[in-house]
Amino acid sequence: MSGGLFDRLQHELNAREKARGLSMADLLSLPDAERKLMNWLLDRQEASFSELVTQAGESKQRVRAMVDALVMQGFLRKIERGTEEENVGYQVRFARKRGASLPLNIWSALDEKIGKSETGQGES
Amino acid sequence: MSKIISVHSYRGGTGKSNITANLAATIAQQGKRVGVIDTDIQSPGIHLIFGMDDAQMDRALNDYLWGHCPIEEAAYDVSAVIRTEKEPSLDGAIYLIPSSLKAGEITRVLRDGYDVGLLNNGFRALVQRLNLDYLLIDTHPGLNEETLLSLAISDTLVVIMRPDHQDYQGTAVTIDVARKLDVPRLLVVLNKVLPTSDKDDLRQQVESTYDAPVAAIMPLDEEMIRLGSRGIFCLRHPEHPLSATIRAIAAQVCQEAS
Repeated sequence: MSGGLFDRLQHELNAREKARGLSMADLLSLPDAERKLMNWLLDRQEASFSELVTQAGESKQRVRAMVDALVMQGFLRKIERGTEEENVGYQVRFARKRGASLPLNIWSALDEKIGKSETGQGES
Repeated sequence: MSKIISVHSYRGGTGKSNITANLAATIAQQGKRVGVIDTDIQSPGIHLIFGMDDAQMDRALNDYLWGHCPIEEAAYDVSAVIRTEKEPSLDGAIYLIPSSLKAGEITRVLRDGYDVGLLNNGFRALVQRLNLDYLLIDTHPGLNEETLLSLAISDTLVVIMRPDHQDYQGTAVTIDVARKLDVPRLLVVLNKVLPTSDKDDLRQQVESTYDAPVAAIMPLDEEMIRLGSRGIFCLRHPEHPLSATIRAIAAQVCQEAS
């Protein structure tokens, strides 16, 4: 029984983990400064904190607050290659695109019908 | 340096995929290595314009998104389409990454979703591993996750619209979003314009409304309709005025992106 409970909890944690991350709608609703920084990072793929400061053109403290908030929201991923600041990189962390939330029985009915037609079983 | 070009329209039926295929062929004929990726996962079809059918497709973008293969394994070398009897050994190349046209695979994407980060990595990997000069992204009409991502990472966005009130409204939305995503270059192409329309007036209206340059005005053409997506128009009819217009757009795309 405890194994079942553990599996369910693990499943829930995995689902929550997958749900974190930046959707493009999130990106569009960020404040201007954050959005511009994220747009730049999307193109760049990875940047160090000092590169983010240069790009943002703001004070270190202001960028630190911005970056920490983006990490907290799950929009930025911190890549630590060492303890020094220069060895820490930041990448955009995308959310998984969620599937449509139709009831499961609709999907299974659709799968069954499509499966039949693709294998020719559904043809009369 | 490689450039990513997204071709988008707010509504379907604007001729987006046809223009993408024609631009790809025109740019490749100039000796460039061009990738074309069909991110219209829900309603794919650009592969048909390149003469591919479902039976020829072992792998598609869907396989990459489900982790079945690296993205370059879903790329098909369709360069043969640009080689002619006159020019059998052109240097250019076209690689096509189609989306699956199988109903079951389309519904699987709709049902399960996919990792958007993987799509982003895939664009970059394609450019690098196929050594592309240009990657053209044929987007899904309207605004969805993959379209917004394509816009966000593009060096140039080509927006296709018809002279239609719904297209005018929708294009305003697209351009507004593209600006929020800091797309460096925007070009508008007016397609399916009645031959009797006042083109100068149209151009002026569009440019002043969107504050973006009109790359070309393409008339509604019977030859293009007759071809019905069964080939690449500018290769079939290189002397046709519409092919000259495609070449003019390609020149602006390459010039703007350089």
